[in-house]
Amino acid sequence: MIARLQRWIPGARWLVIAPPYVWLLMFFAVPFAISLKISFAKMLIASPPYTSLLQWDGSKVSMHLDFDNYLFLVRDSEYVDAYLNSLWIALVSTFYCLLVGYPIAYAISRLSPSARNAAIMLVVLPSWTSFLIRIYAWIGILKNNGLLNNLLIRLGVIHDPIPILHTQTAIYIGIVYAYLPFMVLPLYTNLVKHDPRLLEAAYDLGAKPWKAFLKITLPLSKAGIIAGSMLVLIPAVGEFVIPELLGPSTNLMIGRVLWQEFFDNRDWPVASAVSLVMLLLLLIPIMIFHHYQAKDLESKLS
Amino acid sequence: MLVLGYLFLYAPIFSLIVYSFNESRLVTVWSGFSLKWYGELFRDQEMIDAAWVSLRIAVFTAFASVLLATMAGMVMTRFRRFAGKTLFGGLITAPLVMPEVITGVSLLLMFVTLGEMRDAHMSS
Repeated sequence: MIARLQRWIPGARWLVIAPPYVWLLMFFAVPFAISLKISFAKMLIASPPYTSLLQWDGSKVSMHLDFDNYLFLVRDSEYVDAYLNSLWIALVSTFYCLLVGYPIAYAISRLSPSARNAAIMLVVLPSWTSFLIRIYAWIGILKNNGLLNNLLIRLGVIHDPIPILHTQTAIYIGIVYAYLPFMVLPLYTNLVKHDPRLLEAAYDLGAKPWKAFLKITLPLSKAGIIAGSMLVLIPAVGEFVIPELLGPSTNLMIGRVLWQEFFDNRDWPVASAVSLVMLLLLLIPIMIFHHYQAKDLESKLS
Repeated sequence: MLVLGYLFLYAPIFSLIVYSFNESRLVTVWSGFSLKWYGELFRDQEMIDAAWVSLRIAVFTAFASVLLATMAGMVMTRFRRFAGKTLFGGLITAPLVMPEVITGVSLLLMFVTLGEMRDAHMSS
């Protein structure tokens, strides 16, 4: 009887579990449920600017789920294009990020143990300054009479400034710049664990350095590549500030569409539906990330 | 290789630092060394107030994060399984990868809903 009762009385461990659990439910799961609810409502010019799902007509409660917002998204080619465009930009940026980040992570993992920490610190340090300010700095560098064009003209590489700001290229540069640390960190934690004797063995057996890299280092770093790529890809799809500041005004990434629906059109139901569909699209990459992260955690604990 | 990487990471930040000492209002035209923008900064009360608000929010967030994250970390690594541990693990990683705009909009919607509930409660 007492043993049974004890199972139901919260013990000390629940005092540790409850605060973070309640916090995450309250500020992550509940807001999410609310946007799900609003996405099934209709827009109203009122406060709040949407209809309620439950109707009370004196004797019974009726629930009204409106799928119009979702149908609207699928039918309107502007939204479909914005989703595809965002996915494409995020994929290309992730690829470039990997291309830039892998050599950096590799070079750092080859440094002496005492130098490594300082080197990785230097990669993370820029992300401690304001994100907005770092993106603003790129405007000064990329614009027609900006630092980059001035430098290239002075060096005689080009005669007329090349327009980079407000092009797709500027978006790629901005995303690669902002998310580079997220790529380098998982790659570095993976690469630094590699046993150098494996490469020595490959060299002893006559493998050329590039072959040893392709056969040993690259396959072994698969988990790091996937974790880093997902950490860049997923937030990049929803990126709003970078295309707004650096990209062309015609470029519609889905984060920007969401912003416009929410703040300019004040159509909260459609905005909620836009964000939920975005999340649905990202569910697969999020699950891949979770899978590899869980694996990584297990290997660290064992 | 590493030097190029660091150049890419630090060039924008250094360009900002250098041009903050620029006499001219324009970002790209160098018209001489000046500390006048720093003088303006310390005369701008609104800017100083904003900096204080940022600092306060940052300090509180850091304390709260350390507290909650230490608990969550203990739960994930030291505690034996309990009902809902998988959901807990999911809730921990989800905000890490969730696009900010989704988190922001859904939080805003929740605060609006809470506000409505409070108003309805007060008027009844």
